[in-house]
Amino acid sequence: MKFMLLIMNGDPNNPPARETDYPAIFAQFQKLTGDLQAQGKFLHSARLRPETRTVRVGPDGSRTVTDGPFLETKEIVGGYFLIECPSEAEALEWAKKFPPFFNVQARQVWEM
Amino acid sequence: MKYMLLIVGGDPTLPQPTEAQMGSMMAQFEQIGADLSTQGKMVHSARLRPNAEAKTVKVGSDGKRVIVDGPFTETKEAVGGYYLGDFVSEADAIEWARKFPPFFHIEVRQVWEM
Repeated sequence: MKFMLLIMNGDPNNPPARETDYPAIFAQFQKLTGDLQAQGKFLHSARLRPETRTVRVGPDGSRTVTDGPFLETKEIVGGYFLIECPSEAEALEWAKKFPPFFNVQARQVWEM
Repeated sequence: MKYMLLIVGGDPTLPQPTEAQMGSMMAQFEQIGADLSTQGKMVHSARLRPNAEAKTVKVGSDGKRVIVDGPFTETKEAVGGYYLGDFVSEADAIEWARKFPPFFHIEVRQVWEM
């Protein structure tokens, strides 16, 4: 089973990440990558820049490019890990290992 | 330059694909993947199972983790899948984002080169 672990930024209920926390955060992400790779469970990951443009579709099918995300939530996807693991429970165990400043949303990939 | 094209579905102001349109919609997604591959721009893509099935590991202000059902966002719209591509510019990424089936908005996000 493949899972996409979406790293969510911006929930005001999360502990705030300070500048001084960043080296430890990056080290933790690198360790996660290494641990997943060691178990053959790492597929892909990326960190996304916060700037967003959206190609919006109107009801008539017309398209407009706007600045900012379409989704009007406080949280945005800051990055992701795509992993291969045997169960949702295990995917959630991995999600718990992420740095403690972000909510992590686990979404299963639709096998086609 | 790598960009992630996030496919946002579920906007109630847009027409929803009918059963008959689903087939051509999937074909359109496949065509986009094939065209990106032909041009050497395809990195990865996936379709995600419905947002309603999401589980979220939430972190409280005390650092404690709780698993909750759902994405915990209050919008109907949700990321349904993505294409990660290697484009020559943001304008190029946006041009590709315009080619998607007209039932989805596409968020264009640049990958942070590390």
